[in-house]
Amino acid sequence: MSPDYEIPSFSVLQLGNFLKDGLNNLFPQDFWIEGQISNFRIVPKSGHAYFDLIDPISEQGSQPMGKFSVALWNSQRSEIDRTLQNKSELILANDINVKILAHLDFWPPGGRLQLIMRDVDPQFTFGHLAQEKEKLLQNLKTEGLTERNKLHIISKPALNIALITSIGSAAYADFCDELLNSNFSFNVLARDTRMQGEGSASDIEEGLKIVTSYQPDVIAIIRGGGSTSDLLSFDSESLARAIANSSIPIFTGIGHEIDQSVADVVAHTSYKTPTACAVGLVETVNEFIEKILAIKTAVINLSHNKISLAQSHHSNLYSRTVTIAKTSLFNSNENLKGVKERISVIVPNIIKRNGDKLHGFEDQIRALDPKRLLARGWSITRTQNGEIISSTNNLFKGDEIETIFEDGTVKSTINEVVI
Amino acid sequence: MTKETNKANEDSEISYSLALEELQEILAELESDQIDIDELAKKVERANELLQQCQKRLTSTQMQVEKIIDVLNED
Repeated sequence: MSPDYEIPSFSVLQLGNFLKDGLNNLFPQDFWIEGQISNFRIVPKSGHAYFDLIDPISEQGSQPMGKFSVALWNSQRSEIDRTLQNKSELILANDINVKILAHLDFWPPGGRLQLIMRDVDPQFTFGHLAQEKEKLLQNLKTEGLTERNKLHIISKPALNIALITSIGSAAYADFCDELLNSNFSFNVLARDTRMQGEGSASDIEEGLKIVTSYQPDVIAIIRGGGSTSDLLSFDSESLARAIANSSIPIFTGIGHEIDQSVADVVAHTSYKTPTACAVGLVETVNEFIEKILAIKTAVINLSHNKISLAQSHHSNLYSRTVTIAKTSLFNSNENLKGVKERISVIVPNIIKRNGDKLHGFEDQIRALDPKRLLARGWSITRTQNGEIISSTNNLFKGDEIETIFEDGTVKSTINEVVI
Repeated sequence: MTKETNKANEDSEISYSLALEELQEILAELESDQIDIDELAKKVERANELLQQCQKRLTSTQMQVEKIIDVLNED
């Protein structure tokens, strides 16, 4: 069976060169390509950098939907690094979304299709990061996560500190020095953690989990300053959620000059440097001492006020009691005096009144004494029975009567009754 | 006899306000023109007795009060 057309036949080198030429014809010029850096490495000897540019929407850990190997020659790498540093404080690192100028090339000796990186668009890279960070912050805010850790109230002096940092770093030394100089008895439990590079965010998360089990008063996450790329772990969504949902107040002291990291935003309290973070912790303890002193002063003042109020109330009551008692005694005395006076006036009056009455009777009696009438010529006529005769009624001729005068009595017989 | 003694006791223990009340009653009687002369001496004597009791009570109260005030002032 013979084919309809002649099947081409290549040596490996021929096919490689054929492919290389074909690609050069297809993409005669450099072009821009956007993607996410993964598997970044620098070969120490040559200084060449190699990484994979993967489709950014690929899920982490899964097979990327698109991937190209990228080579960056040492000669261009330092220039590109400078451009990135100057314009956006970035360096090439994993997980960064970049827009690179590249040439598509096939390298026959390695049988590898690769992009040769010539330049980078720093604006794109920086803008993309900023945009992603902004979006993440917005989501966290909507979910209330930016405020959640801040709700923890530090209700006692925070002396038990769990520290997440790279032990032995300058940040660690500065932080510990500051606490030592405070003379407060801080108890620091340090968890040695990688604070930059791939996987550092999850290392920090792991550290959070471990130190939380010791129930410290505060967890401090610190590291010294670095480039934007160095600090990318602190913009990790997963770490941000772990910080926000932590049951312990989290303080951050991540060295940065311009804007805050997402970790700073969701933390309980954030400081610009590890030293400032330690100063803040010392200040928190100082605030408690000041509060206690203020309470002490308030208690003393209130006690004094209460006592002086009670004293003034007491002396007021005392003087009122004395005044009332004296007034009451005086009034009673006056009352008794009054009664005495009234009795001394009334009683003689009664006696006089009764005496006067007696005198009146005497006069009346004296005026009615018949002897006085008889002396003036009046007489009293009586029957023989001694009944006073005041009318001619029942008097008859021959009746014997007697008439009494002042000086004697005349007995007579009635001759005639004249009416 | 026993009854009399009781009455005397009662009288000596009569309160200031009751004594004053009785004095007012006697005064009212004396002032009413209704007083029986036979009763007058008795009433006046009773009034005098009550007045003395009141005065005595008042004097002793005054002394007690002065004493308490002195103690309070010492404190």
